[in-house]
Amino acid sequence: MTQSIETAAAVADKPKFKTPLGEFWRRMSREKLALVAAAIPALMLLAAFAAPLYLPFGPDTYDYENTLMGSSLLHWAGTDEFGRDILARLLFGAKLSLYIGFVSVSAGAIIGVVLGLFAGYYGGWVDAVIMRISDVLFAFPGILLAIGIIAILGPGLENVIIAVATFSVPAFARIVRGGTLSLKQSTYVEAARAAGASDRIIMFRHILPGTMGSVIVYFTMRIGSSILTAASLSFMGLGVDPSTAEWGAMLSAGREYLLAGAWHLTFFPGLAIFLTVLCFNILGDGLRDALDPKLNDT
Amino acid sequence: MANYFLRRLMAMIPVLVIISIFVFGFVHALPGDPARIMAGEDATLADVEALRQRLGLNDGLLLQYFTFLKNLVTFNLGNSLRTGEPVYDMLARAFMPTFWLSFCALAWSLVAGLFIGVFSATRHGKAADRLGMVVAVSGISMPNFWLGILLMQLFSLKLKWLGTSGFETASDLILPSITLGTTVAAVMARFTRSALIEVVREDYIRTARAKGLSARIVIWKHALRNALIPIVTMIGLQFGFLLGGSIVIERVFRWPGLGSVLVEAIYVRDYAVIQAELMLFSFEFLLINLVADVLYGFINPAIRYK
Amino acid sequence: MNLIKKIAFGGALILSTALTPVMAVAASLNIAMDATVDTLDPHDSTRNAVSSVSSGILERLIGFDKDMKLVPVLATSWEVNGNATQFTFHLRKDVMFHDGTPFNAEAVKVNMDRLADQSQGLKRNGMMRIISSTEVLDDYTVRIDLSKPFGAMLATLAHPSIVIESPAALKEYGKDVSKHPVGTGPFKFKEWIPGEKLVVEKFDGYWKKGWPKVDGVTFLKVKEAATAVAMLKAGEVQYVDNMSPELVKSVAADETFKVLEVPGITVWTAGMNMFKPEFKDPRVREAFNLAINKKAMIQVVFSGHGIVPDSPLAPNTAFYSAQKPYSYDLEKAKQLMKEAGYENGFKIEAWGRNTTQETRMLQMLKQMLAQINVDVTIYPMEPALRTEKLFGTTKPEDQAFGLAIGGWSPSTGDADWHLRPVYGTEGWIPKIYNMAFYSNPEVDADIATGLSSADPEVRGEAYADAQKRIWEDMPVIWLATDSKLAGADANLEGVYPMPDGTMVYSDAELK
Repeated sequence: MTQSIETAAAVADKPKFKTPLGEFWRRMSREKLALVAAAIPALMLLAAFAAPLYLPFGPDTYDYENTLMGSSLLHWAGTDEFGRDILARLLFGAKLSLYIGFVSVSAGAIIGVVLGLFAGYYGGWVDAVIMRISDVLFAFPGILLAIGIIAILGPGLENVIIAVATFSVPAFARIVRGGTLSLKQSTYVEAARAAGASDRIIMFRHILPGTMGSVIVYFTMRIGSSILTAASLSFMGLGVDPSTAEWGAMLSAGREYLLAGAWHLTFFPGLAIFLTVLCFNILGDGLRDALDPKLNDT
Repeated sequence: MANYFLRRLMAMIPVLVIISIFVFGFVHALPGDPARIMAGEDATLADVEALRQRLGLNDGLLLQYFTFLKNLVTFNLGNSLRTGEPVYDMLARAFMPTFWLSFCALAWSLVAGLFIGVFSATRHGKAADRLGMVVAVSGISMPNFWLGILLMQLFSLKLKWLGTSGFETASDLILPSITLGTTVAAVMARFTRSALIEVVREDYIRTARAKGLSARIVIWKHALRNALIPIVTMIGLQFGFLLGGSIVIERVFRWPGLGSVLVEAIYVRDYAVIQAELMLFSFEFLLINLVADVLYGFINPAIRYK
Repeated sequence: MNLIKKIAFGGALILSTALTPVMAVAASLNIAMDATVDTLDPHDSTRNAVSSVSSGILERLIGFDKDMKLVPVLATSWEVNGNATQFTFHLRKDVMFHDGTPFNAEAVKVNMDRLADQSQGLKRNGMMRIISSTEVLDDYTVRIDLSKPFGAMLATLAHPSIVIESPAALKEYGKDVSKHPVGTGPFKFKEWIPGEKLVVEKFDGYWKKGWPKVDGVTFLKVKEAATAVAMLKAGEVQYVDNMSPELVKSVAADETFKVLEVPGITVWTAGMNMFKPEFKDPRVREAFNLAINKKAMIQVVFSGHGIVPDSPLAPNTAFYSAQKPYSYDLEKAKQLMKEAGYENGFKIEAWGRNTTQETRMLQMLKQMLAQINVDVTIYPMEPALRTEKLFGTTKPEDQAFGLAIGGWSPSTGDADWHLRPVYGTEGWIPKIYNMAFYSNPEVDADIATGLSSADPEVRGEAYADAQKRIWEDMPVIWLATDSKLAGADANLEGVYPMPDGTMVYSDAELK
């Protein structure tokens, strides 16, 4: 299957001269594992959207006669304390959890990367202001920041995303700033500057790609922790309605039963988060290799 | 360098003042009235009002802010609204347990993280690399409470090697620091790997290898040194996070650290404690980042500071 | 390989020598508690945890037995005048405080004066506002006069916070008595590290000969339920206060441990905001009561450890009288909604705290009320935020909620301190705890009658009438009365939970 994608891409590209996008696709298609990794969350989403067609239960089918049941033919992943089917909740939860994880980290990453780039490149007071703001954000424990943000904006999905994104901004800023400090002294940046390239070109064309490795790694790691953070928010009543099917919330709610003979309440959502984070990490590695200009001649 | 360090320390003072305004404003903007919460739900309005008066919450905001600032400058930090205990004592008591736990967690996770990172990077794209990733990803996606409770069940109840929780002896550090460090080790492993792969492709490394230097020397001496900038950034960040105390781990292992002090203070809106602790965290971060900035200069002398 | 680690552990070793390890001495007892002790002066606390740890250090004139019946402690007998304004107590002789101060009428007066003096700013001053004066009649007789009749006075004096502290200590420490409690109890205070542990030790001069039977008790703060149970199983503690119901099975399965279950006096309710037009219709209120499957709720929320309420009061509260329960009947609920003109339902908000239990209740309310087409948006709020939203406004018409979850437990064990705050017009939030804004002049009159007499018969009649009327008016959905649970070593006797959720340990004995 991946073989055919590769050849198709190769055939499509070869006659033409190299466009950056085409080049990216050509390289990306070499990363077979990464493609599989990208396919899994996509398949999860597909399964989630199609779930009503094949699942006998909805995520909100309560059954007080059958609470805390282990795995069975009827309930593959068992039921929770309300007798809701865990598999159904996992599938429906995929939509929300992936959405929260991906969108919040992306938003945090974009803002953080730009801030870090400016801070590292311009230095001086720009650096001081941006980095001190990020120090303050760092110093605020996540939960407190979340209480504050939600108190100002009110509860709800969008505000949860804003809160979680805010946690991510300073880390991305720091990472990119560190890389920028080092790269702006490198010979090729000096050369670009000597050639009269504008600051914007230097920052976004020459320095930014060099920091992407760390950014992608942190990004893919962060998705998992964001799903967990969003969960702790919804459990504190700061996030989405706790009856909503969402992986992190399922995990937190199941915690009470960890030693009460119902470990499946936490195991399955934990597994779903693990798989997702793993996929994003593999995908991230593949992306990075595909984007790396230095890998050209290997 | 010492001059630079001193200058940066001095520059922290106005930053801390600005942070104090931010912290004060934020804490007072939190919904929830400390007097109402502390009086209890069966208190009458008159009781609440009396308590509010007693706690000094009826003073003007500006006056409250200057009291807070004065307390900061004189290092007495004021008294807890809830217990009347000096905030300084509360933080001093919780600081060392948090410090030891953070230190041990960081120590083992750095070693493990660097090791797995180098191991994976030198086997880039091979099965061993993938294994390293699976280990790291397990570390980050395993919820803390899960790992903590599981370790406790195994080592304290089944094997009876260690006590369950609390901080009485040095061996009590083992389980919580394993739990706490797992996430850090995972992040460090992934970061080290990525940074190394980046560097290994640089020309000077190829030159070094072409000159016949052994792979081990190239990796440990040349490559790792140059990969250190992102790694140092990450260590600083992680250490800062750890020093903030971990709410979940302190809860599971009954750890008398800063995280639980803060949580309790937030529950009852104990302004004095929340403010002092936030100022402490901010100061820690400023200090750590300063050290990281200085280290950047050591690692890459090209990064000079004017 | 890792020098850093060695240094770290070395340092920790040095540090740990400074800490005294908790040794498991045979006759000493360790107790795990999940709640925070923030003061050791019960006169200035509203927390159950403070009552629990103080119960062995400080004693009251009158106390409760296991079933919340009044029993003499420091007072041996008492007389009350007909209109409940004058209470005379005969005190136990040969009682000594831990600091050597003799216990007598003067000591009682000092404590009552402290509680009655509203300028003290103590959290329990409000409770004793009613006292006009306390007179020493002789060394061992004391009379308390009230400014108006208060039939619940005896029960109020038995409240766990109305303790007798050493007058010498009150004088010496002032406000700081909160860190130096000195009482007449079987245990004297030794050490307190806030948020961590509290240690008390045997008092040799205790008036009850042969007691206490353990050398000391250490209270450890354990927030995580799973950790508390692990500590019990590892032998690090012998008693787990307020054990989580989910873990009952795991403790009961091992015969070296036992589970203590006591019927509670907390009644969990969802108050229906009477300022919402829909709830003005009694048919809607009845439909809501019928649409909730309370058995399922107790099963899910409390793992089955509780009972379906059959009165506004729990069975262990004084003057409780049973009513006919509203059993789950979805069809009738739908019928009633139709009759009321709400066949297609309406939208409301339901508020509660973000605790595990209240979050579960909210989810179930949402799901069950959806079956009668009511669209419930649930808000499990951080406790401080909930307090702010519920108690932050004095205008009931501004309150946005339709349903508000609350759990009330009368620590006096008396009908008055449940009916008046939760169902009396004077209890409307933010004044006390009437979250439904329920107001029935007849109920208010019954409550007043109950207060104006100390005669149990007169009071019983009034409270029976009040309960019947409240039950018919249905201002709240009565959800559950949960059991108070504890886990203990099978060899431990004499430590148990009280129906109000506090713990007593004075009679602790390791067999």
